[in-house]
Amino acid sequence: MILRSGKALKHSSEHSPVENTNGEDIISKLPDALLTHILSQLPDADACRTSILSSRWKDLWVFLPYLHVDILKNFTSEQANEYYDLVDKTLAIHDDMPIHRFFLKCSSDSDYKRVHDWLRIVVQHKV
Amino acid sequence: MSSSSSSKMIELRSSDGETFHVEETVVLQSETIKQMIDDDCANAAIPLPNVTSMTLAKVIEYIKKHAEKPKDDDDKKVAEEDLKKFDAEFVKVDQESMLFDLVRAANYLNIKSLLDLTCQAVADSIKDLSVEEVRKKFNIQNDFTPEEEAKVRKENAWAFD
Repeated sequence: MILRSGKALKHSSEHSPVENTNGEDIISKLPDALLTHILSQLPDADACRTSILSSRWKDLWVFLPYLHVDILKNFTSEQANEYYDLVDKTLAIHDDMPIHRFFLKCSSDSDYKRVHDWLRIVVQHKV
Repeated sequence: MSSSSSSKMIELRSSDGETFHVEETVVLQSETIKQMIDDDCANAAIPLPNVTSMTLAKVIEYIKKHAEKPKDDDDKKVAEEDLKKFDAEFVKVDQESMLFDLVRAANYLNIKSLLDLTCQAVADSIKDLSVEEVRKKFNIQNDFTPEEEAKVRKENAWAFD
């Protein structure tokens, strides 16, 4: 995956299987449970970056047992609202699933009432 | 579990009709088959409609190796090292599709260590690649509009910093 510098780190691919040559996207056809199993064995950021591979991958990260919330300062109020809703939804999905890690980055102009609700939920999950 | 001696053989039939004979003690690593044996459903050949003979042969190679018991403690250390080497070699498959067939088979047969091993191998093969490289490697079609992709990127901004 891309490093912070934007450069891709190339490792020897001796452990990787050879390129798939018949042009079929086999990996995306795996059921959600197996794709999330694969994602759970990647570092958090690597797993999350797979969300932009295609629409098939977009929401898979929500099934992982951790959550990184970063309320960006440059969000417009509309974007911020959508983002708050997304976090609400993700926490609702986690209702009966474990949350092992929760990361939160917010600023003084974040909606503290909603942030407080999130913290209440994750505390109930005994993060 | 039904009473058995180590020599009792279980017959497995792949989706393409090939039969394999495997010792019961070996095949019990599959929770799915163990359940069938416990339920007394293993008197005839066990049909595995989701697993081809090629994949099943690989799975059997894996569970046979993992069923080997070291004789003593010294032997145990050697065996652990040997098993690690075996696992590393095992996931170096010629066809990428075989690795995914093994992921599916391990899941269907419920062999946790094999599922972890094969999923880890897939994860390792994408870990150091850029998003574009992952798409190319697996022929994943980017079906986002540039706007949609930018939105997903923003929602997950922490991972792209």
